[in-house]
Amino acid sequence: MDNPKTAVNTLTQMIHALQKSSDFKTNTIALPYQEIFISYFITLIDETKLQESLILILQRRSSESPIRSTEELLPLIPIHELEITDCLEVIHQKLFKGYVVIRLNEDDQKCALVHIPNQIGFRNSNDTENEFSVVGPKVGFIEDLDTNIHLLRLQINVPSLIVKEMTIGSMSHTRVAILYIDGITNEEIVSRIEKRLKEIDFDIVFDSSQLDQIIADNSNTPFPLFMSTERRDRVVYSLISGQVAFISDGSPYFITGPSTLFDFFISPEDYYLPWILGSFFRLIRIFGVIFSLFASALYVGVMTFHYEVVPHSLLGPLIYSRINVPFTPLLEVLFLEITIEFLREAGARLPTKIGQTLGIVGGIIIGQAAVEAALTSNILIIIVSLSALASFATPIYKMANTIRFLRFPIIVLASIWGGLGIFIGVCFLLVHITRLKSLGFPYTVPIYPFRAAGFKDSFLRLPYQINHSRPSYLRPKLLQRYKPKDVKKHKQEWDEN
Amino acid sequence: MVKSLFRSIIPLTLCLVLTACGNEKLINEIMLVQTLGFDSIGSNVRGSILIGDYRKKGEVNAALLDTVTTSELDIIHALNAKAKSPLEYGQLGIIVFGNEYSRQGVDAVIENLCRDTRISTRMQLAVTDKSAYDLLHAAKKMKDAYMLSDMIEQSMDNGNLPSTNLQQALYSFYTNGRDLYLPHLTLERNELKADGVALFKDEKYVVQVGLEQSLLLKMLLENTKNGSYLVPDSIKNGNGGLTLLRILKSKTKYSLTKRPSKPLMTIELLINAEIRDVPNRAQYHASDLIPQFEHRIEAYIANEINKLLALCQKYETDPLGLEDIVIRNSQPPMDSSQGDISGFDTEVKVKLDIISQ
Amino acid sequence: MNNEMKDKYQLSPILLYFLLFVSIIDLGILSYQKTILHFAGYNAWISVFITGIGVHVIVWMIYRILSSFKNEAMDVIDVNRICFGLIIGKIFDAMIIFYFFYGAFLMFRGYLSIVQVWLFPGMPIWPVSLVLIILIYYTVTGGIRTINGLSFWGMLAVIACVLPLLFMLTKYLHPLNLKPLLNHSVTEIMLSSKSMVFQFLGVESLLMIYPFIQSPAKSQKWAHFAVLTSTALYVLLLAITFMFYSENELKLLVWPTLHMYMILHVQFFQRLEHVAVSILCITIIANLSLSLWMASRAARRSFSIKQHRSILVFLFAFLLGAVFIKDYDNLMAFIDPYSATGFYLLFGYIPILFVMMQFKKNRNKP
Repeated sequence: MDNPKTAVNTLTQMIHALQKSSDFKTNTIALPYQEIFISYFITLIDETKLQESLILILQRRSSESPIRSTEELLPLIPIHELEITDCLEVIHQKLFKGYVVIRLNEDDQKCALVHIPNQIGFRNSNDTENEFSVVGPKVGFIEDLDTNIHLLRLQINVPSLIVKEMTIGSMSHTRVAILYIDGITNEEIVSRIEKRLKEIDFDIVFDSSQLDQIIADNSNTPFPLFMSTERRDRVVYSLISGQVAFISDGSPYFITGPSTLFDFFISPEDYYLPWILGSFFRLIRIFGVIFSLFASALYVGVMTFHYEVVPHSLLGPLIYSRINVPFTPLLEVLFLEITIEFLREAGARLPTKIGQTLGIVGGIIIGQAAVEAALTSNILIIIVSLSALASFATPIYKMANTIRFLRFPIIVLASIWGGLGIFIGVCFLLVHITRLKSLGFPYTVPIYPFRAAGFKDSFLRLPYQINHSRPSYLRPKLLQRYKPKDVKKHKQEWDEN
Repeated sequence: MVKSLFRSIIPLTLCLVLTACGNEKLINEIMLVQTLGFDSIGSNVRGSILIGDYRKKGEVNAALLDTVTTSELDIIHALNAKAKSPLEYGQLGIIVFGNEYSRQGVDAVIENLCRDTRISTRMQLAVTDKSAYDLLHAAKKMKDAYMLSDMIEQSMDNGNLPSTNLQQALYSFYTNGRDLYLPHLTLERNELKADGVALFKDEKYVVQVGLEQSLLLKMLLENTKNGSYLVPDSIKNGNGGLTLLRILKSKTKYSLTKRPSKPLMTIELLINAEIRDVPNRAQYHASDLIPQFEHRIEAYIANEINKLLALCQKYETDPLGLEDIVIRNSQPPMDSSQGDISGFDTEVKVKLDIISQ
Repeated sequence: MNNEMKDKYQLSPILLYFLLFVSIIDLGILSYQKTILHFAGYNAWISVFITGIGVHVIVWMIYRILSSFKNEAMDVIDVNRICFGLIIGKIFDAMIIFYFFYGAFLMFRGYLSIVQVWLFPGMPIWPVSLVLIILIYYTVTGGIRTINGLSFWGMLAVIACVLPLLFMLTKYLHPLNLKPLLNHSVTEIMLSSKSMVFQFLGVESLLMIYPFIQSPAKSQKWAHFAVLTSTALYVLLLAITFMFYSENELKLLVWPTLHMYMILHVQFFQRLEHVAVSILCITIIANLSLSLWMASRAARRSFSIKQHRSILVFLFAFLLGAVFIKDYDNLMAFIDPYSATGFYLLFGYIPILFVMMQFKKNRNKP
């Protein structure tokens, strides 16, 4: 028990101790032959349902004969989460989860616990604003675990979708559910996640992403090692590919793993558009990310060290743009990049109406004024704003943050050693992502370890005909998802088709 | 323990490293040397440079600096004394050699250029019959530091000059059976003009050929896609009149025939050309007159080429690399120092196709 | 010595290709044309073929040596133990460790001098050395898988650097230079082949990597493929160099390949040699990491020195040595003994091991 002063040994004492909170109520239901005592937290219980499914039923039953023992209540009450116990720990836990304690006598140790939760306070639907897509379903998750699992079961309605629950958090006792598809998923992945989650010692779990960071293979990396999403179609796609998903109660984000670097460039829209367009947009995203990482660094490198790389016709505009700027290119770039970071951070927290105006005004006026005052060059403003835009080309917000962060070390390296510095930075990055493992699986599959089959769904999204098997690095039990359609051979003449 | 020590050293060294960077050359704090000229004054060398000045928007100016030193290697460093910011010659577009200077020999500069890692081998070299300083001065008045190199490149792309750059020049200079040839510039009524090719014997400038003969050189060296040639002939009657041929395509084949006395080098030149408009156009549609015209022109061009080869032989220069071909193709393989342009005979055959509209 | 690797740590056969390719094609690609020009002149491309064939034979021999005993995958330490016994075996091990370390050091310093000459004249050596050393440490501590990953990127980097040279220079090539086809004697061509062996000196990495490959027999074709593609690359690049430069000019240049980049230009970039030198950084780091990993692993297997300690010693020696060698000419003096040692290692030591292992194998048969 939490309170060391009064030792609570019996149920009666516990209920007496809980009376201190004004939202804890103990009611006596007066029935013809006896009195039944119910105790619960008003704020956690749905009063209407209490009235209908509990009190009415009890009144109806005991109008004929008295209820002798608590066990008789079991078949009576039409709510499935019902148990009979006398363990104080369990009773204490369940009271906080919206259970009602039913005792037949006031000093009974044994009681029945019935679950009648109150569902208000949750959103009805989730507009997935952070992961918006133009086409396709926009079904998202909310903060209630049962609703989320309900949504998933609606789409994957086979019995092989297994849900394993556990409790994490010494103060919050949060329910965490692990989901996977039996018969497809490699058992090792499931057991790894279970083992790691069981070993967690934490106090309150606010969000699944905390769990994701704690159980990650390497918490010192800026790269996200698990995918977190609040869209239903993404989670379903991970599950059927052979990945495992878990979520904690109170969080709308599902964490799926193991993930690779390319999973963060995949958008559900790619699958709803024709494959040529889907592949094109993926390539644009990857190009955008590379541009975002290296554009400012290239500017710094060329302006500081490698003036010979510029062709004759570009020399004029480039030199003119910097002619009165008193700073070195490094300081110019850092100044602009940090300004953009300020704009982004401030814009994320301002109320909508102020945010829009300030964003436009701030961006345009600061940019224009900086050029007029010759603090920066206009070419650089274009480059920095384009790369800031391009860093948000990745559909997953976590990866966009990583890209924005990684720009800075590369810019600093470029200012020390120019082009060589950029490639030293690239080397560090490459070694780092090659060393990363997500749940023990390498992070840069299919590039390294090289798997030709894995390229079908990474840079390009090949048509459903070709793309019919699961990623092999996950070692799923069943490799093929579906049988592709046979392509008709053109034995007929062209004009007779 | 070692690991944690190592990990704490890393940020520290990175801070130190920030202070000891490579030498910075901020693009707006250096002065870019874009044209360089060498003249010889007595036994000294006079170097002049054009620097691009981009301080005004949309306008490019050029500044001219010059100085006199005892050796070419010193020019840039001596000129630094006259410059506001450090001089950098990585963006050098062209080097011009003055008349006197090139007659004495350009090998000092060329050997330096061969090994220099800072310049681009796409840049141009040129010879002039005035002094390089005058040329640079005229270019400065046109307010363009890249004027000379752009002009030469334009002539190479659309005019009569054979295309060349530092790489080709080095190649011709160092190959034993070839000789250097460079574009020739001059001032005509204070306007710059690219008016031919300068031929070198080893490292000394010996003779200049005009634009017409430059076109012949160009056709013999590469596939010419433009260039115009004036022939003193016309389709009508074969007497008098001028026709301007615009070259569309040219192809040369060199073959060596062994003979008991001297090997015979046969040069076969195939030209596709079109006739630019001249009066009396109606006459040109008479298609039976065209083959005769072609034959006459073929003979004329072959004659001109022979004259050019005779000129080269007279001055002991070989821009076409005929010696090289002879040396490499002869059996048993000749030692490269034995080849001599008089060691073989040449025969020229020209085939002209007029493409009519 | 028990050398069985758990299946988890092994590499699939195709990955051997990247490791070997990056071992073979290293810094030498920038300057190898000069060294082989010395004897065979412009017929040297024939020498490259001959060297390539020789190296193929050596690779085959290495496979036969290391797979002599069917049930275990051996590496060179085991072979030394078997052939020469404990004491002499350890002496040979020490020589091999020093050989790997020395080769890595020469390449490290060579790369730094290229950076100094082409990108940043007058740059102090120790900052770049320090950062590169940290990078190498980070790579090597990731194990052979990380090194393999980086060598995949290294291979792509080499291809990206060489492709422009193969395709964009056609305007400036003079095919006539390749004639006359054979005006040097066989001795001269063989001498050029001998100096070309220096460029192939990465193949002996196979001696240490062998136990890490999943199914050694299947990987043999990838090893041969790596040698084949390297030979093809060398020959093509050599042919292009010869068609591009005249012989007298080539004798004056120190880094002909880099010089060829000066003439390339794309719409908004010219002077691609800055880019080329920077991109090759990836290949060099992969190569160095592999050599140092092999040296420290051999030190651990032979003398039981912990890998962390030996790698720190090697890297510290790198830093000291890099600072004390002043310039490229100094460095050339150190390269010649390494080149000779490499030649005798490949074409002397390995055949001897081959013969001895054949005897031992026959003796073990009843």
